[in-house]
Amino acid sequence: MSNIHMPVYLLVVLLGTALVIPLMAKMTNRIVNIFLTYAIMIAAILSVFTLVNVLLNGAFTYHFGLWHPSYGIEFVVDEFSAAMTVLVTVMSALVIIYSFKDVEHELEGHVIPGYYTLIFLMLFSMVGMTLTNDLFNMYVFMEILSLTSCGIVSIKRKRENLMASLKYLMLGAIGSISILLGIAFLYMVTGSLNMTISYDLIQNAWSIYPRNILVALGFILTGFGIKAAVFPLHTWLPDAHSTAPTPSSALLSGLVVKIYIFGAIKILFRVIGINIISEVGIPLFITYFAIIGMIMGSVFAIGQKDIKRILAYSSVAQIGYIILGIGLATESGLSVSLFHVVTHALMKSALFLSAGAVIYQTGKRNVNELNGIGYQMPVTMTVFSVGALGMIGIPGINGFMSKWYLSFAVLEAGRPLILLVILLSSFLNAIYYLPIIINAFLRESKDRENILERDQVPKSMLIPMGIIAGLCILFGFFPQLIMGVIERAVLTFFNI
Amino acid sequence: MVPSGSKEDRNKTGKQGKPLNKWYYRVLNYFCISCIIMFIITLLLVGAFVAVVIGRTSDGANGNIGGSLTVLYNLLDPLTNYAYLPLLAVFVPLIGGPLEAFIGKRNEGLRDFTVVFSTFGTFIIILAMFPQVADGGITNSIPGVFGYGLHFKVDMLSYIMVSTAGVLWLMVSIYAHEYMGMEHHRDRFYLFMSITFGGVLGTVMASDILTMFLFFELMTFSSYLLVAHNQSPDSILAGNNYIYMGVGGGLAVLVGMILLLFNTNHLDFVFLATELSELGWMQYLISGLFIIGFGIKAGMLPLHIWLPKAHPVAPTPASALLSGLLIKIGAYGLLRVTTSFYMPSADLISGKTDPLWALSKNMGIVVIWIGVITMAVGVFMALQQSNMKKMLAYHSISQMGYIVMGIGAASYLGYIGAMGFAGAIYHTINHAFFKALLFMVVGVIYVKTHEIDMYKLGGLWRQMPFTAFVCLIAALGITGMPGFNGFASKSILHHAIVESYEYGHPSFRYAEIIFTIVSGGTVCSFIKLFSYAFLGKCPEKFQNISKDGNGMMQMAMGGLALLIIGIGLAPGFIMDQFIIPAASNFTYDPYFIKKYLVDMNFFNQKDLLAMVPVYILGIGIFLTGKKFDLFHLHMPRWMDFEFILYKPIYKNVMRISQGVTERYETRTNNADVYIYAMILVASLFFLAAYLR
Amino acid sequence: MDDLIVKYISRLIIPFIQLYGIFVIFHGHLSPGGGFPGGAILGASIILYTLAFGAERGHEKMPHRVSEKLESGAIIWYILLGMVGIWTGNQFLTNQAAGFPMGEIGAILSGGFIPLITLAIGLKVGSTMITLFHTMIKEEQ
Repeated sequence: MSNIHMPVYLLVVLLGTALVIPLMAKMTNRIVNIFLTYAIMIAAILSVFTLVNVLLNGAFTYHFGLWHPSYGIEFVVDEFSAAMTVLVTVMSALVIIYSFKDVEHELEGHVIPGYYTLIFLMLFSMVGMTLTNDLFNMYVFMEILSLTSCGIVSIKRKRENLMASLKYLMLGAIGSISILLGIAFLYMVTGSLNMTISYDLIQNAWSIYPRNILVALGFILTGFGIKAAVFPLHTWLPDAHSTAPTPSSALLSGLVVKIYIFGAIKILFRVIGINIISEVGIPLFITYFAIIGMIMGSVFAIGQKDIKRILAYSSVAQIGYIILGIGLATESGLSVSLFHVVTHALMKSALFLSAGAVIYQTGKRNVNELNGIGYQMPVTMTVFSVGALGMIGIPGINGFMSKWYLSFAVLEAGRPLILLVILLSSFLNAIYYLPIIINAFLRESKDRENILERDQVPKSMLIPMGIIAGLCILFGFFPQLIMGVIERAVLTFFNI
Repeated sequence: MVPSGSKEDRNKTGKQGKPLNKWYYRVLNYFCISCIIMFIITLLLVGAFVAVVIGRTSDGANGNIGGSLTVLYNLLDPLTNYAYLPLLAVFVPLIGGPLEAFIGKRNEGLRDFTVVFSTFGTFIIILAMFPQVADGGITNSIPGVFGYGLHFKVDMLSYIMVSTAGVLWLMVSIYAHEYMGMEHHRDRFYLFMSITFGGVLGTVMASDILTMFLFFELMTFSSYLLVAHNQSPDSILAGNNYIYMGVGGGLAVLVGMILLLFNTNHLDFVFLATELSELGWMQYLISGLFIIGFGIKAGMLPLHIWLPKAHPVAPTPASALLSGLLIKIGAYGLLRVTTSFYMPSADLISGKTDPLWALSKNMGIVVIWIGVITMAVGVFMALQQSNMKKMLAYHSISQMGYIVMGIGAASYLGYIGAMGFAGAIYHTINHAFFKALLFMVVGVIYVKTHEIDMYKLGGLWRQMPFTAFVCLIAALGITGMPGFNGFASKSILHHAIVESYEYGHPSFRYAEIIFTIVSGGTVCSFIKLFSYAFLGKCPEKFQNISKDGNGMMQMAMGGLALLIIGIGLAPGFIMDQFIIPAASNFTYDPYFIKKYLVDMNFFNQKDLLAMVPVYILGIGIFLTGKKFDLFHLHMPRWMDFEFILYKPIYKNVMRISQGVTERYETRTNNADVYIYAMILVASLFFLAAYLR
Repeated sequence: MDDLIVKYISRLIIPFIQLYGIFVIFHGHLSPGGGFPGGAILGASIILYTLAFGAERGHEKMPHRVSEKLESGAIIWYILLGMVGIWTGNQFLTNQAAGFPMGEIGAILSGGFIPLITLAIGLKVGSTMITLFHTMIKEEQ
């Protein structure tokens, strides 16, 4: 268990699976599915072992090829990376198991192996981007992530998918270029691409080249803002997340946008450092965008009729919460931000997967047509209700705890007026989530009577949904399970 | 519509085709037998409980009977000394609910039996808690949940609410069986009724505000499903109103709780006046948030609008519970906050003029006036209604105004506020009983005649003599006739408001005048109900309504009526045994309690005489109204609160949201890339501004 | 394209282009170039063939199943080379410490680790370019 090569094994497993799938395309779907399940389970177990290792023995660094970090690539496996890697692998394991039956309905048969190749490459790049300590390596992984996430949106060859994916790709490319330019500016000042070495060099260079670093910071923030769908730059998100096939939506909303936020956090806190950032006033700036995003995301969601679009806009609002936590620039702010990353991944996956199950079963996407569906698909709508009530902030589900912690972080940072914004956004969330639940359980549908039936959805779709909902409730009652790890993870950003 | 009492159909084809309209055949199915048995056991237990309670605290003539029963009680020691009784009391209904829903799919009779049995079991657990509570309260905790743990504490104040809840739920469960024959989706109803019961018990037994908040939200959501049960469009609208306001109230309490925890580092209900007084304007914000949050639940003006919508559409057992108990939880929350957060601890103050009482005093003024206005508006609106349930709903608002006024008086008078405290709690208990009974009566009328408009009824006392009799008892209770329970609580509340203007600001004299007028209005309204529904000429179509199928309902109503009369004849019992120990837990002047509250003579001349003008006023308003046909007037539309305040807000929010979405979002989403590029350039420009 | 001159000239010149590509790949450790440009040149040769002779014949030269296996196989080869580093007790992608010979300057067969890696990269890049081109041509039709 204290094998330090576990992260590399994890990456190798993910990449290897992605490469082997096209070779296996001739075999039946069942064998391929079993193989994929094993692969992702092994990946999840490896990541859990890594986390346990780090929690017991402390952080370690991994130098590729035994090259010295100033010119080689280094991976830093500390509590933060290990915890987030566990999140990525476990959530994607559940979503992939869900997707086996779902993609048969949504995609054409011959593209399904390609779909899984893209997903595994995407996972590979997500894990890589979380673990890496090298700026350019992070850029490379980010590009892979960008391309593969566009791929899983456009894999359904409909017109709206292609347009959404094209928009995502172009905006993503602008974002990537922006980040590359920022990294180049930083390299200009420090001469090193490694994050820990750059930190010391930048602290020294700040007094000599302040403008350089500020321009770099500007480009990097804008680039990550586009890719992480921070409010004014979020315009690609509703189309991409609502038209994509359901497992892709769950992965995109739940994980991909968060990985970009991790990149931003790493650069802000580990490369440039909290001192310089507070001097310039970046946290305040980020907070303004976050607040506007929290409110406007929900305002836009109220007017939507398609259920996946509502969930996509809701993601924009929730990313506002996460950015708010970062913008407070305190330890409790960052820890609540990471806590909300985990909670939102769970809740949004539950919501997307259950919406996908409804679409799988009945083909209905418009919320006005969902009357009485709670009786036809009780388990699915229960999972949806758990996710929705968590978004609103009902105690007992983990969304409440993240609002609770966020309120305390806001008060500790001395900005009590933001409490009103959190209150308002919770209420706005209620306005568009409650009607869906009420329609599902309490209105009569036109074609059938409201008698309780069993879900017709296949078990391989129901069980992951149930597990995710169960985890939501478990962490709602016992949030210390995650918060303990996250608080240790946050210290790695402040104690350099 | 399913005909009432599906059992009748099954029983009609009985063994060997014998005619089955004898009453004993109907009664002999096992649900009824078990209910009768449980009812009789309950009566005996309550009687024994009363005797034991008296026996514990007094020696003398009652001591011997009480003594022997105490010996019996002591035999039950293992049960009564079980440390986890509160947790058990909360979890039995929460587990019983899904169990009932599960059984209900297979056998409806067994399910109804389980419902009554689980409430009966919970009631026994509640009774068993008394010895420990009287000794000093029970505490339980579930550690680790939410990071702070769940904490329960049953002191005398909680115990009063818990036992009221237990009795009420038991009676309503017995009642619900026959009423619900008329509704569909019965499993769902009983499931959520049990979950609401668990939620209510959890809320009142909570010892810190986070636990209370958890169960409060649970209760709001499960009672929503009781309100929207019918699934008719009106029910859905009323339910929407209820749940949005419920969620809003919960959020207000949440923000208040977070501010409180952050500023004083306390979540539990301890005396916090010293810490709060150091906070400046923040203390008023926290108090205001709590008042709004609990006030929405309690039906305080101007947040009461969900009440008159929710009651007519909910099935009658749900209305009885909603009016009987759930709105009291709002008042209970307010009372808890008043007696713990606003109150300094006893050793820190020097008397009733200590400046630490400032917060309590200021909030008290606000709460008293809100209570008085609520009372007045409630009665005023009630007099205009023809729908019986809506009238009772407005009366609930009015009576909650009494309770809130009592809480306000307790808060305002501070150290000497024990009278207001006692009045509020006493009226909570009494209102629970008589309002539930009134709703049950209306429910029986509805089951028999399918008519809810009182102007279309009449002369029903011949067909339903027992129902008319209990309705009379309940009406006398609510109006405050001496000998029935309302008299005791209304006179205490009257004393409280008189004290407010004696010891406090003289403007409360007007509050007292409004109090008297409102009591008169209540009298008038119930004369109206009783005369229109039961007296007078019976319309044609109601001449031959069926007389059977409501044995259980009558039994439940009878139980509540017995309680009303019992409390009415011996009002000192509840006062001495329950309310005064509850008040002693808080910082109230013990000398004041001893002088005015202990062994209070309820039937003194002054109070009895004070009821006379009330009744005369009521009869006067009724006769005037009938003569000049005033009851058909309705308030002009522009004065209706909902119209001027809530509808515009709602419409505007939706309009702005749609408009903004339309204009900005869809346009930018479908535009060309150069618009995105412009947004990006703008952001970069923003950042570049920092370079200066 | 159906031009006679183009077909004739490309038939003459493609072997030399491929030879040049292989040269660049194999001399990756000695001279500028290496996997990426070498692979691009190899890919360009097949693309030239497809352009000159038409899509079907280009498809026959480098059918999809071959290029598919080349792509996956090349990266798996790369991963295996990296794992050698782990199996010998060092980190992933280790060079000297894992026992690869260091070689002398100028000698072609002496690079040890690097030619093997560049071979993998070269094959991967070439086959990817061909696959992408063929897919785009197919879509057009």
